[in-house]
Amino acid sequence: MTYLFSAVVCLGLVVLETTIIADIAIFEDAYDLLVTFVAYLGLYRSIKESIPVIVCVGFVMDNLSGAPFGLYLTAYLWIFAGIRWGMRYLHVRTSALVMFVVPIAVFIEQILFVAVLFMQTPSGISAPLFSKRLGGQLFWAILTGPFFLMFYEVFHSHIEKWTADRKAERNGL
Amino acid sequence: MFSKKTVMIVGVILLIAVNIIILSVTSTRYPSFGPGRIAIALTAPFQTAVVGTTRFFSDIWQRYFMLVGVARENEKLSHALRTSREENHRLEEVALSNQRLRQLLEFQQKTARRVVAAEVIGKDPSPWFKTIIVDKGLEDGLTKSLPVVVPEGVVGQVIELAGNYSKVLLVIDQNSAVDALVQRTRARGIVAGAIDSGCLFKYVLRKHDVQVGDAVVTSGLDGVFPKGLRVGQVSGVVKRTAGIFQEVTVMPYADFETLEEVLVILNPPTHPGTEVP
Repeated sequence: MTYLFSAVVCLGLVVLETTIIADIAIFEDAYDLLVTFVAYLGLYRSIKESIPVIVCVGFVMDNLSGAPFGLYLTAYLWIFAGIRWGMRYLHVRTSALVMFVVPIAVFIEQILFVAVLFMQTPSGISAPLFSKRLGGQLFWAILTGPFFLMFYEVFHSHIEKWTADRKAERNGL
Repeated sequence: MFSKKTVMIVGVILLIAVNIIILSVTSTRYPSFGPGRIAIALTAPFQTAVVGTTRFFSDIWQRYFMLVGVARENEKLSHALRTSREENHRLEEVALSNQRLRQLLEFQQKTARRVVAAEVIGKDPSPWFKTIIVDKGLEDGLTKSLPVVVPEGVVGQVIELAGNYSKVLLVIDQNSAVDALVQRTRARGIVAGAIDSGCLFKYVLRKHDVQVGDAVVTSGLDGVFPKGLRVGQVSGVVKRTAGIFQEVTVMPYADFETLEEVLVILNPPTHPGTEVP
């Protein structure tokens, strides 16, 4: 059920960001929405459960995008690792710090993207363009990131509770 | 011998190094991967459904609730204008090539182009890379490297295929390169995508006359795009005191923000430079 939930959410996010969001001018600097789900996995789910989902999502994104193969997968794995590492020292889940998890994840992803672009064409990226895009993405991430995390947590726990109840009912019968 | 911390630090450094090496290897090749067709085939039907639904409602809004007559007339006029532009451009190219051919006393028959229309169903999720997904693929006769165009100009080329879907690398992507000519002076160079906006017209010799407003067309020498397709208009020229090339920027004719339908040319030239516009 957990994997089904992850598959449905990820597919929904991929379709949303490659169709609707990509066509609306106001979301020109929108961030990669799958980062929110990777952050959620890093914060609330186990490594065993998260890694297969992240690998699958990274693979899909790498194939849908024109980015060098492996870039999305790399970004998601480093974001996940970063969040897990951060949680060893900070009580992210239970504090206001949770608001900054998505923006930090977006920041990590963009730094990786720009590093790879820089490897391809060192003179290709201008600082003003990078600042503008990063600023826009961080703005949207701060504004919407916590809501995504809340949504995943509430929805996922409801599904788990529902599944557990059904199991208990079956066992009781 | 080594503390746990040291081993961990070395491990992380090694991991980063391996990661950089893998990414630098993949970034020098076409951004595609064999089993990628599974990923495209998996998501594309949903993209088609979402795009179809949004366009359906957007069409209702535009056509029935707002300015029904104006929208129709505008569409008709836009179509007529596009056709006229294409015709005008074609005649210009025909006149120029006719002149050259007369001089050479040669004649080559123009090959009729077979095209298939495709709808754009998805765009690249990252603003740094420029690709689109279209709803035609292997089953429609598409193959890798086929040129993709719109009446206004060149769009890109097919780089990844699934059964009924394909991924198209746009000319504005930094991995794209199109062999091109300045229509007026026949100065040759490579049109490559720029990360910020538009394209760069690279490797144009300083001695060649290139001016802002000049039309840039495909040369046909890359073996992908037929000769004479419109790419864009020169938007800037910088001639530095040093160096053998000039810096030329090109604004593509195709509007990539509003791209909805494209044409895939199924029979591009098989031998570079053999086709006459």
